[in-house]
Amino acid sequence: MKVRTVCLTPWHVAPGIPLAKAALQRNGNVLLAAGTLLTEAHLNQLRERGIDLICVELPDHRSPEAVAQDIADAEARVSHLFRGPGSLAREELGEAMMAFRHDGVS
Amino acid sequence: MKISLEQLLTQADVLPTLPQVVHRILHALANERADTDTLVDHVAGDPAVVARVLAAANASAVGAGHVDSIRQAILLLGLDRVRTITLATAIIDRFRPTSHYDAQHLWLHSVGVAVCSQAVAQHAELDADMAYAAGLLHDIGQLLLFTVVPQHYEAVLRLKRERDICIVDAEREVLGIDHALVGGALAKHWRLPLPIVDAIAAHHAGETVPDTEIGDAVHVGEVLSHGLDLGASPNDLVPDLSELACARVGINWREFSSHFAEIEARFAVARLVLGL
Repeated sequence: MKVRTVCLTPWHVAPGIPLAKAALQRNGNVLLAAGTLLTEAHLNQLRERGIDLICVELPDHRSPEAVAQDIADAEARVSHLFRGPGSLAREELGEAMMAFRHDGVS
Repeated sequence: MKISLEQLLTQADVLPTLPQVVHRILHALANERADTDTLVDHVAGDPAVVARVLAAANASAVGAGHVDSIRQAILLLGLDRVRTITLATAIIDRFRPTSHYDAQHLWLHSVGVAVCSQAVAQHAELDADMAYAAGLLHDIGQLLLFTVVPQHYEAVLRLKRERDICIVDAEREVLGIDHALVGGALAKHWRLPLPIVDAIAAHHAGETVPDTEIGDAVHVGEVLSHGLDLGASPNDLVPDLSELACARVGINWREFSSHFAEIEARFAVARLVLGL
């Protein structure tokens, strides 16, 4: 089965999903290792410790056409937000945002 | 219609004043007295804020049992998080019911800017709590303008839509003044700490952004929040970004983009906790 890595808050993840990357505490120590199958207790532990972001592996049922459409939609939204002229700094932010959105839906 | 700052400030009392707990927390931050005992003392004097903070703390500590004191919330969630929850709940609750303006959208955007400003300040090793507070309050000038001159502000919003321009350009054309200047003057009128006054006044100053550290964090944070689409308005437009402010906070966007996912997550959690 095809999977993809998605980064979400512990409030938006259901039990039974594996961690794609280790969940780190604020001091950088590993709280849960990559590959851990998340339980409700794990998710509560992450929430209580103020960990806002975890990266999990989700099954990817999208067809190649659907992936291409998601990429096109994400790029169109970034282009719309960054329409019109602006400084070089704004342009660089727009490029970084485009790459971030592209990675997020690929 | 052109309107002066003096005219607006004479009518500033149409807005409710900020709760005392917000003043106390902000002045404690400015005076580096931001410890647990100080925060507990400040919050304890306002039962309505205590109730809201405990509700928010319980919402963000699912499975931890019932959080029934501010001290317990700090123990569980950390001082920084309880401070930001307190500021946000106290400010948003005070203004939410008072305006016909789309306050829900304004606070959603303001929380997005607060979260982004906090991340930029952390990156630049500035006072992240101060940047968060300034981000939350950065658009209070819009609230005052809409409350004092609602019909003219409708004209501002119409011009913005029709010409697809940034809000400050529309404000300057219709009113001869912009919400950043108005907000800075209001913050000064309310005797908020100077870094917050300066940051609110400077957040749309473009390349003329004065050298205020928190102002740089809020300016960059505001542009970033639009870029990340945190308010998700269909016709949003990313405002221009000052090269100078970016240089002063040491941002390289390619490198800083590694923080984007975490910023989005912090915003999602804040929405959940604050009920936005």
